[in-house]
Amino acid sequence: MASQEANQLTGDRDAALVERTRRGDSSAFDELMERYEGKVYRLALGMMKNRDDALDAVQDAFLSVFRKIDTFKGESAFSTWLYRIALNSVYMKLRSKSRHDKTIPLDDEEAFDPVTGHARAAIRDWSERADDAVLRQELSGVIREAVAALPEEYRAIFTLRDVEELSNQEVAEILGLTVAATKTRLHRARMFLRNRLSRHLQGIPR
Amino acid sequence: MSDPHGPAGPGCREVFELLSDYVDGELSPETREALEGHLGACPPCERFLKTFQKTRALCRESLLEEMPDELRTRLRSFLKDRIRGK
Repeated sequence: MASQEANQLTGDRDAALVERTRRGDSSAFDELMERYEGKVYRLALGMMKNRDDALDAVQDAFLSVFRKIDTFKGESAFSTWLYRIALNSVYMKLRSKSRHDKTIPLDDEEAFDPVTGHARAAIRDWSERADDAVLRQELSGVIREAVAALPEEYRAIFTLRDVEELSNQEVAEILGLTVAATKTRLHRARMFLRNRLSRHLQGIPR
Repeated sequence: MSDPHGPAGPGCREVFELLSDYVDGELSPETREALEGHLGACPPCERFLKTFQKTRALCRESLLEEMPDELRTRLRSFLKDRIRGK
């Protein structure tokens, strides 16, 4: 409930800033940027390989927002519109043409005993081990590689949902997907990342 | 400890499929209870859940990077030039 109220306040503030930007108040556009540049940058960085490429996409996104602000009808939240523009900038930079075609399987077959169909007794709990300070640095690299290995749409969904903590509904609106399709892809992305980390951690001798 | 693989509750595969809805708090109370019944009686599934949750926490921690000040400055200066020069 508290977060719904916070979302409402954010939406109201954004709408006021959009209106002032339309009337030519550049300080309002500056404030919109301040509110969102960090989030849009993280999305771009999650999608791309390096900071400079991410910055290019963020620059294009905000320039588009400024130029198209008169076309924003307020049918969705400003943030939804902005994230959509940002993702388009990212996709343009990545020159991706078939982002909707790529899927990943659930990737859980090796977790089950082929005879009984039950989860294997060999599944280990490495969650505490992952707190090891020495391993942390290494894991960060493994995580970035694993996220980069996700198909683009899954990467976007995972970043918006689990890093930016948007709701499934918001992510679905940004990506133009149903909530059900968003949730399916999110689950597959989470399973894929869990299994990548698991393989890495189980391959390191204690 | 009851048999987690009996016909009454969800099996391991179903539990795996429901893990995201479970950690996101999106299951009905009945399904949640059935799933927790399975997890409490099935150590491999419980261990899997722990690593599934840990993965989300580790990923968020690794990817929640602040925008460096230098890039903020470059962004602002780029937009000022482009907007003024439009």
